[in-house]
Amino acid sequence: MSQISISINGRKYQADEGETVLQVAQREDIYIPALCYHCDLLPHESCRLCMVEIEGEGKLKASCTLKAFDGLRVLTDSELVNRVLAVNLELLFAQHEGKCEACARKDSCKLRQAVIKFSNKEKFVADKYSDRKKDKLKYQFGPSIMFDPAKCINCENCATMCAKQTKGGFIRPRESKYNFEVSPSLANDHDCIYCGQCIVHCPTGALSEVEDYPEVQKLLKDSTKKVVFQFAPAIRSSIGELFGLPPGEIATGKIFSSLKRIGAYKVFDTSFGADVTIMEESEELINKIVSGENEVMFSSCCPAWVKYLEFYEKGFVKYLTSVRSPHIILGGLIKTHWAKHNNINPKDIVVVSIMPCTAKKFEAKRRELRVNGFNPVDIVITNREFAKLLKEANINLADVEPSESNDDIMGSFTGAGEIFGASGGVLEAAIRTAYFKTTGKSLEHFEFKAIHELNGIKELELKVNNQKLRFAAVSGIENVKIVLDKLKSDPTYYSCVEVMACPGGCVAGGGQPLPIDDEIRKMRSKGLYKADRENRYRESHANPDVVELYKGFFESDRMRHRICHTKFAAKNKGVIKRIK
Amino acid sequence: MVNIIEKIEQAGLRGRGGAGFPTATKWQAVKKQELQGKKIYIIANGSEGEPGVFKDEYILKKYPTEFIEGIKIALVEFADSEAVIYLNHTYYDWYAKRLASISKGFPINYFRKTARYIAGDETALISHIEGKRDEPRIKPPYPAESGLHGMPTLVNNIETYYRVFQIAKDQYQNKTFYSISGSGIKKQVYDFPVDYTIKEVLVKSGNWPKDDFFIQYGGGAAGSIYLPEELDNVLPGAASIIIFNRNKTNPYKLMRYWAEFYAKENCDKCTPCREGSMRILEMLKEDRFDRERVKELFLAMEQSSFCPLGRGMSAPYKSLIEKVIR
Repeated sequence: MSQISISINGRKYQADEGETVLQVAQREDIYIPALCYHCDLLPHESCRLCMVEIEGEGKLKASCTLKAFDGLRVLTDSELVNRVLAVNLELLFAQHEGKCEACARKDSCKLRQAVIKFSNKEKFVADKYSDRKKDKLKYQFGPSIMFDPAKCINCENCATMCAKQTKGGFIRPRESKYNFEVSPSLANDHDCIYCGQCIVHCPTGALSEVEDYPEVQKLLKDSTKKVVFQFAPAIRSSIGELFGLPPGEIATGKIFSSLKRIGAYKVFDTSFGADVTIMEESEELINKIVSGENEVMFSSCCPAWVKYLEFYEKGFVKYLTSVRSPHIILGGLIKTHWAKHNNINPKDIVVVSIMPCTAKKFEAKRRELRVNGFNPVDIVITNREFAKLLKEANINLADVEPSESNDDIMGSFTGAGEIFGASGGVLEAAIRTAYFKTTGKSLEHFEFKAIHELNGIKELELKVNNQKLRFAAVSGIENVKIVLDKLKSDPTYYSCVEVMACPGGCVAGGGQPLPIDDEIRKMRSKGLYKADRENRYRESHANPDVVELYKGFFESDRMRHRICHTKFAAKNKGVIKRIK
Repeated sequence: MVNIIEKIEQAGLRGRGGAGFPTATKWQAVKKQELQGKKIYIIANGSEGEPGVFKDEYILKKYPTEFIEGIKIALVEFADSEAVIYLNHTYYDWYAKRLASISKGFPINYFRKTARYIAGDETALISHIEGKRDEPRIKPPYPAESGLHGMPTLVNNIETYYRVFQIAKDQYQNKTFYSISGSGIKKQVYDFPVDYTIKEVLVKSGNWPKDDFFIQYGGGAAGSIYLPEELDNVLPGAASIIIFNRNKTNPYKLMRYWAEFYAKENCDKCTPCREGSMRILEMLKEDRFDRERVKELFLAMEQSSFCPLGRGMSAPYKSLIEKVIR
């Protein structure tokens, strides 16, 4: 690749052929308020806040599409740039309800960031125009996602992403007399899968999770309740970002400590549940292969993916494994096995899952997952909500001394469970255990580098007992569509497919700290693989507490089945609420 | 025999949609793609959404055969090609049937435009035909490289095909159709040489007003305002003249008409055009036209709008304010 040199604000910078001026500026930490730009999407060029001046021409160009060429000279801070950007920012801010202090996205809002940067410039007046959207009602999609049109700046990023994540797009621009408004489709053949990718790509607070953490705060103060937390594998390598730590830094020990400090009765690592999921899933996979039933098996850990099949691809539902997702299994165990062991009335237990995900809020409410009349998980909060929970209790996670799980029956967890958060992790963990179960020995190499990469479709071929088997790990529904097309003509093409609805897997889930880009996805995944390497147990079946569980409580097939398995079925459109 | 593209080049034909791009250059660019064995789409743009422009309709009514012949010339020129005639819904409802009977047996399809003014932009038009939102696209790639369904596409105005037919028959006399309308005159189309000054056009058509007047040239939305003393020139833009009686025209009402038009007919994709057009309309509706503020909006639109519609939106306002309101 040939190197070129461009000048930004009079300083020289190296650029690669094909790079845009915005990419160079972002790498060099030169601020350009590119609101609608997201590296996952083709530049839409709609916000017009990334304009730069071509030196000597007195003309502005959008830096998100302006390709760097040798000798190019641009200004990002000239008088002309500032005058034009001030107007555009005033216009955008006037169609945005600026209730920043109460906004769920306060700290990840690119519009607010831009307004703060511009507020010291003489030309800029934040409230020059009347707010044209202030009377809009909010929408709530299922129990997961909040959409506030009053904060929408019409960039369409959510709609573009939603079209990739669903069929035809659930949130989309709807035309009205003068303008279009982004709004959810009311048609019966479009629904939200609750993946939260709209939130990840929304530059403002128009899209956010339904916040449940205030409920958790209330319950923590309720002396009649025992609040038991569990946290997903994927949050340990990203939560630190909201406290100034670099992406990928593993914070498992700090999570245990800080949850105890806010008054958790008990803290579990969902990785334990992941180990149980793997025990069950590997069994199902082996049975399938041994019995010669060669049709594919899909993972079901991702509730957005499950919803996608149940709503958009009903014919494929039958291929989903019947195994429940890790936090549901762990929740079920907490309210039965663990409660009994500790002599606690399950009625007094509130299980709170900290998840990288907005769809988990939906999953936890599924009635078919109940165990003995209880929801295995009572409340799901996202990783972002978790950070708020800590901050509002004046706890800085970065400063907290790490500690360990101290539970005597479900306290240990394996590296296999920890990698569940990365695309390919579930598949790798399943293969480790399935290999052991069929051959009686451990794999020589635990890691399959091919599925550690960031690609949306990762394939793996393995020879087990002279049988050649094909596997795939897929992330992003857009990629899922390609794989499903393949399976439509041949359902035996793959033996097992792991699917995560969010591009890159749970490390980049809809409930994760923002911003998210490919570099951050890579760093968060790497963190999980490092945690795996540093864990003394790397196979789910080697987890000593899991071994005990199967020797004891799970001796009863009925109990094991009730806690670990379910049935999935076609679903109709979910609830869309309008809120004042 | 001289090749048709060379003939077009020699005739110096410029696109009749308003932008005045050299037609031969477009055809050559598409030819280059055809030589690589690609399928070619030929589009006739009959969206004619600009107020005060009605010459495409005139052609559809008076010269449908000649127009279709022009399309056929393109179909012959580009080996593996197919044509789409894109008509605004009124024209479609009135003329498509008759055109289809003329073009029977040729790969010519008809598309009914239901979208806004902006869908007259060649890339927005392509998006609309593809069933997508009628937003202009990022150029490059130009339609000649990657247009309809990703294939090289030749987009020309209806009149351009008509003139191509004349060129092929050696009947082209360097003329263009002027749409003339306005206060006190009959709305009519005139076929005059392209190098006529506006004064000549008005005088020779018998439309030079007796009372004090000003005109809008280049379309009833996008055109600029000119005073009588400025008309000894050939002007750029669509050949459309709208005459306003200076004493009887309320310039604020006129601006409000433009503002309504733009607020409704733009694609709403980019901030300055979407929000700017709204705010101008708001000010005019509420009778508090703030010149300083409008000036800022114009600068942002001119400098940062995504497409020519937004970049050019200030022209009528600015010229009206400068010359008529003062």
